[in-house]
Amino acid sequence: MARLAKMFLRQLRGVPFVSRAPTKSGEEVPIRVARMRIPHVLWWHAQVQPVIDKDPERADNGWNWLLYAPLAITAGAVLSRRPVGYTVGLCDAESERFIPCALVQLLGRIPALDNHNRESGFVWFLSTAPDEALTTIEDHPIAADRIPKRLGAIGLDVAVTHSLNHRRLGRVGLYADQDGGEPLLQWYRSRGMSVLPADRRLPSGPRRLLKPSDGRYCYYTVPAAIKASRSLDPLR
Amino acid sequence: MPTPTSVFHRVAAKYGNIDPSDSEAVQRWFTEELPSLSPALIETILEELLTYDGTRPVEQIARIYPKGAPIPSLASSPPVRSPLLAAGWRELVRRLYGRVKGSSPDR
Repeated sequence: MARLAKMFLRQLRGVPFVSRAPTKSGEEVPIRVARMRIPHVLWWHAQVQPVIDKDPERADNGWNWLLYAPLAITAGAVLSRRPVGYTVGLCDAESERFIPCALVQLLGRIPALDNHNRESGFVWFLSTAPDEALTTIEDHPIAADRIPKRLGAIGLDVAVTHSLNHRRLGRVGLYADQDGGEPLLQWYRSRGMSVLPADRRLPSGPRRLLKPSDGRYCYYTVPAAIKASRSLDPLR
Repeated sequence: MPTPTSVFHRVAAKYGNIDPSDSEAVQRWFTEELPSLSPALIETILEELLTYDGTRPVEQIARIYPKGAPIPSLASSPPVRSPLLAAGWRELVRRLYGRVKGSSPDR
């Protein structure tokens, strides 16, 4: 009963985004979740993406956020899918700099994968900066032991928090890139997501025909989203 | 996730008459031209892009990277505000009654 009450309360009052991240040094560093802006993705494409593109194993190899971000930044509010972009960045108060460490682009409104009558968020793009991209910033390298850890979990939490704060009750879906193989699916499972069985139908739309369920669509049920969200409470 | 980059190039060619092999022109079209299109057309473009979410890229795209992009500033990257009730009583009071001593605007 108490658990149900806590779950309801979290849905009712919403959740703040994370504001700290652990590091190798054992200390936490201040981070900030900001609305994605063009200067964030411009810097990312100059500093971070070239490092990502050196690694053919990464699912985000070859991505170009300068193409994705405008759909959320300039037009998001008027589109029925409610695209929205967030930047997770390291806050350096001394130099007044905001160093992007993860980018997340979501769709705020799509039918939930497990219950087509409910609305859900959907992670369209999510990328985290490799350590090398942050330790090699010209004039402003970040020490290896001060690099934020758990950026993948924090990026996914941004999606869950957005869903909780926009009346989607924490429901989030995504497609686990095939390049990520079983380890990527396993990682999403470890974060509490369920995998849609390959024989389940997707919500109606062209995707049902073009990219039907193949055992790589993942989703948060409401209780699983709440549990995942609570697990990051110490960092809020 | 996601939609292959090549699909974005195809979309720029279809709706913006842009050479899909010109990565710089495609980038410019998305950042400068797309926002000025009608919401209905942007909606159509978004749906088309989403249709290909999760599909395999069919063509290689030339990669170009901007040079000398500055690190964003904290001031131009304000934190996303939490819902009023989630932000805690101090923020609740601050937003309702203005500044309260000791409260942080960043919470």
